[in-house]
Amino acid sequence: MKIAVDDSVCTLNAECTYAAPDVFRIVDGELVYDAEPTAEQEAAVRDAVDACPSLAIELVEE
Amino acid sequence: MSATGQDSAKHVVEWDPYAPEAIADPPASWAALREHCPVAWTERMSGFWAVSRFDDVVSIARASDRFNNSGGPQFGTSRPPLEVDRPEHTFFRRVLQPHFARERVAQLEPGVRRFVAEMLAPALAAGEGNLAEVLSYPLPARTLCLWLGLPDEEWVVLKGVSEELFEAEEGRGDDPATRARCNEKLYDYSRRLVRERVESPRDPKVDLISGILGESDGTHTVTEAHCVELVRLLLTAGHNSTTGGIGNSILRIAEAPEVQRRLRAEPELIPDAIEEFLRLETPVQGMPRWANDDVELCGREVQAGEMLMLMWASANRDPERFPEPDRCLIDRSPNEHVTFGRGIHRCIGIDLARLEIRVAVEELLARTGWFELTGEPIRTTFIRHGVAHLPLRFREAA
Repeated sequence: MKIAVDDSVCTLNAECTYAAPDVFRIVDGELVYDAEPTAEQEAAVRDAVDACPSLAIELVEE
Repeated sequence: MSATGQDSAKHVVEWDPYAPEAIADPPASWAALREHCPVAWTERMSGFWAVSRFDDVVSIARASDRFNNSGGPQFGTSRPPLEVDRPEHTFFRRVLQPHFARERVAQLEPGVRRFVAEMLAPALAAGEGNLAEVLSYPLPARTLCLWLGLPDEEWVVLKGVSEELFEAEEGRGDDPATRARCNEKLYDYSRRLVRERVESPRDPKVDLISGILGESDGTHTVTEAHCVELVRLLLTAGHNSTTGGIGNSILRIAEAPEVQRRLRAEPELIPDAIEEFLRLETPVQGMPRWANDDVELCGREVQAGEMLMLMWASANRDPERFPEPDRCLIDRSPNEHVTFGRGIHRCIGIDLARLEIRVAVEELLARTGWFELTGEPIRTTFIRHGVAHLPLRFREAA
């Protein structure tokens, strides 16, 4: 599983950083994320995708 | 009220947002609620539960599967995306999102800067002016016209009707007939505009209405009727709150010489300072949700279908989340205020609102040596918090 974030619509709402804090962080006003999360993080990442108000996060299944 | 035995008295009334003491000192009124009655019933607006603590406000905002947005559309019909739930909500956000994309909003900045310069010029030449009249009221409505591709001068009509509507709300004019008439005017405007775009579509990459009309995901399709509802929502939500944000920010700077000195010396602090002004002076003080099922919240029995008001303004001053919550710290970090909401319904126009407030503050500071109040400002409060009268005098330097 890989993560793709559409920077053009991300408005740094930060909902993903609450849903999956191990995967998404905001550092100096930028969204930083682990594009290839582990299997254990998958549930949290799905919550983050679901929580994003801008619908900016996509999962790329392999 | 609870002892009358009347059917209408569903719950004990615990709070009145329009009571003189609540209007005189809203933060004190919320502090009392957070401490003693964090989920409080009021009979205003046909009755709702005021939710005042940060943690409760945020968890309810995030629980869109248990608390819906469609339980009581303000004007009878649901205006997407705000007044609809999933899965329709996801569809509308997805369709709208490109029109609120970072680059599209950034393209508006030169226009907004030009508007601010034009609007400030007469007041600067006169050495004084009512900044509400010359800047904070016109700018967001004019920017909305620019963004929707409307003739520039239309902002006067939109702002005029929106303000008349606001003034007729409960707790102010309390005039349902005027509210209905203004709402109908705005719907007429929206219907005419959408029809115009149906008949002569514009570039769908640039024009919002032409861009979303007919969009489909196989299950949902954006119809002309949807567009009318959505544009009707934008015709008020697209500028009212930003007017509050601009007026509140300028007032905060005018009232605090040390803040003004610091922002003049270090203009790079302006964006963070604005976030702190937005936390302390929350333009939209609360937004409603409706309980899907009976639920107990902080010891209160909330019944299915009842309205809960998520009090963003109170959550923003919760000492459990913000140390020294009533102090204005322009470099406060972290500053996780909930002024733009939380959860899936978080404000879609965040970047546009921030752009307008920042440009207004930057230009006002850059074009003046100093500014200060020359009289009492007039505040608007509950449920829209702003400045209706903001008399300033300009000087060369401090």
